[in-house]
Amino acid sequence: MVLLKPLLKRLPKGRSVRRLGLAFCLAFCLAGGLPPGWAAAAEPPADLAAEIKAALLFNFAKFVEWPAEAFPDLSAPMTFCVYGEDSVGAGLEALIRGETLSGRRLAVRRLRDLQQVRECHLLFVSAAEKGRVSETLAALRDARVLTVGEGADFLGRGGMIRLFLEQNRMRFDINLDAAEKSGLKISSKLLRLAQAVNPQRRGG
Amino acid sequence: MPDRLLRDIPVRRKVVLIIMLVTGGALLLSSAALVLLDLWRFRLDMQRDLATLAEIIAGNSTAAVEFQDRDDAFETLAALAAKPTIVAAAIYTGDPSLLVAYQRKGSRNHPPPRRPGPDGAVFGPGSLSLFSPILRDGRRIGTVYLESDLSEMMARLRLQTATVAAVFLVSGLAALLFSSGLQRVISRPLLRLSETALSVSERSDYSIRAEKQGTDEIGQLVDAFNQMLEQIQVRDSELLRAKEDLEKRVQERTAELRQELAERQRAERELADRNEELHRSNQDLDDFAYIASHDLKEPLRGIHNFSVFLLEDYGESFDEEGRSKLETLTRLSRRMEVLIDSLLHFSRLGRVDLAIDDIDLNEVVAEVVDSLAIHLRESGVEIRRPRPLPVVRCDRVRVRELLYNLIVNAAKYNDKPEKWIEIGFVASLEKGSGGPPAIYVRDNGIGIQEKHFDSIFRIFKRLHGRDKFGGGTGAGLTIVKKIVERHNGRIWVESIYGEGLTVYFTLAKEA
Repeated sequence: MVLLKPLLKRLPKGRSVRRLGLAFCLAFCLAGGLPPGWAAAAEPPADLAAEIKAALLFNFAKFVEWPAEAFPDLSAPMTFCVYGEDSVGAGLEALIRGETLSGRRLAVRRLRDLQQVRECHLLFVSAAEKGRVSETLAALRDARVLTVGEGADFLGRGGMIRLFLEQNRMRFDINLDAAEKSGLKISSKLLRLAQAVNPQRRGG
Repeated sequence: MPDRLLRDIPVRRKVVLIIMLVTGGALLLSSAALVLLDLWRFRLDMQRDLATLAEIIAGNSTAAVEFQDRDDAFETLAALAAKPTIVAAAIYTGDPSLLVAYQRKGSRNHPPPRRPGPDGAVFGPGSLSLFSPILRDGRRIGTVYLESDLSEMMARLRLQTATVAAVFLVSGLAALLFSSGLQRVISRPLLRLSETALSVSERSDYSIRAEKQGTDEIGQLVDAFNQMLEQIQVRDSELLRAKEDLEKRVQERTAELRQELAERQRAERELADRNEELHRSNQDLDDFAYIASHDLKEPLRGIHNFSVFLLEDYGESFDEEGRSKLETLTRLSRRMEVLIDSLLHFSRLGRVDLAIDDIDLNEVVAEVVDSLAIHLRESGVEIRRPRPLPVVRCDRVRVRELLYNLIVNAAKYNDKPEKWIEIGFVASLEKGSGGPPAIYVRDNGIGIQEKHFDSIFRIFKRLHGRDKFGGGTGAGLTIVKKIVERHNGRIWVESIYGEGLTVYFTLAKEA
């Protein structure tokens, strides 16, 4: 991991180059795993992990359909909210610049408290905010917000997508029941890529 | 070219051949068109199918591309194993770079390209390859590549070729069978017509007629042929009739001509007889004139002599009136004697033969002028001879008499104070014909009117009173004409009344 960091740092900070690097890493980390030389490393470096997470969040939004009433009007932006772990927010900001989804502008909001949480469409709760997960999810009951979090019991508590690292690859599980309850439609294509769908039923 | 090739083949084979060629050609063309059309549509279908398949794959692989999930992408492509014509496939990310590649089992020689090409289907050798975009939300996120072999199309082509060949063979046989049967509809009437024509020309029998079997063009041909034969027959008989007619007419005309000839011969004979008769009667007339005048002279001489005796011996016995009457009797008898002498002389001219010889007319003229010298001098007549006269074959004595009479006449009938007579000739009457010369005697006398040109030659015809211009018997010119005619010549006059007269004559007597 130590090796990869200076590599990224040394690259110019231009947006396209960063995206290129991210794409390389996504392909690398998700599909092929780390090269043998890096196998000793327990997890990817923090910056890289944040970027991967940001990319995943963006991709999730591509394969999830919000009901029309989730937006006040047709020109309302789609809002990505990040609670904790500012680096993911920064990564997202870099990613969505100039992008649109289903014709909507995109916005990133870094939440300091849970007051504005119902204005989000996608909420990422980082592992750092583990303690406030239950509170957060309770605040979002029946809200049309796709919730993405970390931690083994995220889905069990009513979260929708849980990110986790497995064999150096970033994986995710999906709580389809929770999503459907909130009126969100998750594309079957996304479901196909998930490690497990509705694993909370077994645990529950 | 086809005309020449087909020209000498019998009609029935020609018909069959044409039918086979036409049906075969049409069948071949339509079959080829159908096969080509089908292949063309099959190609379109292939492209469409491949495009559809690519779209399905693209649709299914959007998430895999977005998340760059090779496993999932490969699973999507692995489903292509169900479609064995797909030999290779690949999915590219938007970078673009190869995300995952697929190759049909057992076709390792078809690796997909490392980078995507331009969108669209391309037919390569033995394959159809296609690049199609992977779209999510209308935005391109990657590319699908599919490559299909053409084995299905080849199989279809083989099947269709075999089908066409089979259809061609079977329908060709059927067409051959049918056309062999049906060609008789055309060929039989033609053959029959041709046989008829042959027998007509071989036998020259124009009463043969071709049998008509239908009202189509061949039927019309048969009609026309029969009409032609009829016309020929009519012409033939007409020709025969005309020939007979002509022969008859020739015979008739020949007979007519023969008759005409006979008539003409008869007429000629008649003419000759008449001529003979005329000659004889002319001779008789001459004889009669001679005999009559000769025999009349004797008693006339007695009358004259006795009237003279009576006047000499018994003149005193008569009174003055008696003597005058007796003198008149003497004078009249004397005159009658002269007339009879003339007549006798004239008739003798017709009876005696001519003594023809080459005569120098200059000598004859000189003799005549000599004999008349005193008379001419007394009358004051000048004789002119512009050029010497020719030598002419004639009777010297008669020609002398002729010239004598003409010169005497010319001297006699002249009332001019200066009288002249010109004796000459013109070479020939007909130019260049070598005819005899025309001798003339011209004077500047009283002339005669044209109405008298013929009558002056009649015997005893006198234009003037008995005692005018010295009198005469009126036989001179008649004798002249007789002499000319005995020489087979011609005599005619030219005159301007009151100014002079020219008498022309020719002498053409041969010995």
